[in-house]
Amino acid sequence: MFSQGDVERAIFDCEKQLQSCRLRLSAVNTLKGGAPSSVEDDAVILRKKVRMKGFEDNASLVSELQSEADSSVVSLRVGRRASLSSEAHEKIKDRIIRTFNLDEKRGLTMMRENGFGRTPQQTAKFLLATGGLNREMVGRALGSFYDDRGLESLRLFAEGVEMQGLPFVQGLRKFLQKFKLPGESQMVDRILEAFAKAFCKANPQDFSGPNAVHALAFAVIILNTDAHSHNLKQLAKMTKEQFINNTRSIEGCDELNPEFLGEIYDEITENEIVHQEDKHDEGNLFHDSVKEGWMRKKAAGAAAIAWRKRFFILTKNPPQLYYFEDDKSNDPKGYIPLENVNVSKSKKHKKGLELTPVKGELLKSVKYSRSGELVLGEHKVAELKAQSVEDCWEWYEAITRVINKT
Amino acid sequence: MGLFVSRILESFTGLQEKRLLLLGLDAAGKTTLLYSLKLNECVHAVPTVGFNVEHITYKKLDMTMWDVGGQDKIRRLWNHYYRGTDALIYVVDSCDRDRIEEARIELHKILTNDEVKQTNRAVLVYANKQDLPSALNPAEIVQRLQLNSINSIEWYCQGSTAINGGGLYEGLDWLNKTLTNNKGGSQRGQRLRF
Repeated sequence: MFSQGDVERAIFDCEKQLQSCRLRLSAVNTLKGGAPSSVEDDAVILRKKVRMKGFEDNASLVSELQSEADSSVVSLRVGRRASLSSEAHEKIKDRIIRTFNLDEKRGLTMMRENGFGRTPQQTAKFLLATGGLNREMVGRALGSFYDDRGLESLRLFAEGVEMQGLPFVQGLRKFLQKFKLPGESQMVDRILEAFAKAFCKANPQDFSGPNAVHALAFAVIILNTDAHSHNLKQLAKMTKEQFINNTRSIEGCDELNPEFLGEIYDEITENEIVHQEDKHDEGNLFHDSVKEGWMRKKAAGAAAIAWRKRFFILTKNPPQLYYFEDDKSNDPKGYIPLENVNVSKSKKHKKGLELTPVKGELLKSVKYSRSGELVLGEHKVAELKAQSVEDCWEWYEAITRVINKT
Repeated sequence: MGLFVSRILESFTGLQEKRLLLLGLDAAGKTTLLYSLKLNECVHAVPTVGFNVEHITYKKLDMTMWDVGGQDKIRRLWNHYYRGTDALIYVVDSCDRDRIEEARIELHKILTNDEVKQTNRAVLVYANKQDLPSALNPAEIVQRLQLNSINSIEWYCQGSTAINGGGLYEGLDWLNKTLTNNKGGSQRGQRLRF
């Protein structure tokens, strides 16, 4: 038989362990993917201990503790499942983005299969608001929507762009920043029709109806091509008068004020509608980069050592150093996570930097394979060469700041 | 002035500037065709937000091709470009039997457009997607599109596979011969190649 003191001590132990269980449970939930299995093991051990000690005298207290331990285990399991699924969710999302950026049709299929694009609402939201999607591919996806379901997604996408209170041209410019308009006339037609409906819904007083806005937007895109395409000869530009007459030949547009159309002509011919691919757009991984520029990265292949020129982008959140084929690429070739990494000036090269792991042998690094899958790198050190000694110092300081923030 | 300059250029280089429109139902292969012809040529880094338009030089032809199309209600916006067009290139998806009738109606509608009729001298039909087993052959396309009923201008039907460029230059050869032959009316219609 145990003394009262033993029981109290045992209960105290139990409670302490339960407490630590709860703490870790919340840690698991917030950090997702900490080390849930060990927490669960603790709870199981705790329950066993409680049972083994056999507190017959304090049966009620014991059962209370036991049930608490049980529920702790249950909630741990739930927590683990949730954290795992949210982790898996992110991974799948990442894969969808990669796939989509290579092939929008496959990306759309993956979206549907994985619950990101089951409904037109989901599809529209994903295409509009997911950071890291290649906007040219988003344009192609939107252009490929022609059946009822697809057109509904297109409609919701257009309505998702806030255009209330904007003048026509500004509204159109804003809309066209969300994706790169494809060049095929039928696609342009469908997309601008969706724009027209959304614009009229947001600004019902501005025009007689969507038909006029649709035709006007189409005329503006023709004008933009005519005035600015590098593939057209200088000789045959559309004049202001031609633009006005051409646009007013459409039913619904005939009532548009020629002066208003003249202003649109001036604005478009002076200020081309462009779509810059969006390393810097909101929502994109790279929009708040700390530093970017060219460096050479040492590629230690089996046969020979080569210093490859790459374009680097350093981000603070997440703390990662991305590298790209060149400054025009939208998708990185790979990245180096800067958690638990030391940066130092190279002893071998004046302009050189070295990234080494704080602990362990291997530096974590990730490469994207051609199919968009992630491949883990296996190097002890990442060696970089900046463009100049000053540049090297700048990179050194920038990387150090990012590392110290983590 | 523009005309004068181009005449001068023409006398030196023999190049003739032509305006062509690229037409066809969606998914017929227009974009693929346009970019197969542009293959190996420099593509501008920041493309204009707008329609596919390409400038292509082939033999004596200095061509500007526009991809035009869209629903009826906005069709008149293209009138500006229909005006002064030298020739049309019409792309048909030879496998899409369901829409071949739609393609026929569309083609004849364009050919009877007043603006097109004024200057347009030829239409080149690409019977595209010949690589697929279910494709109608060019002779069948001629029949389905009722090309034989066209008697105001010259026409030609060329089988093509835009994805690998097959047949594209044969078609342009015909255009080159037809458009640079100033006497006109050399061989009217009724020609097709596989």
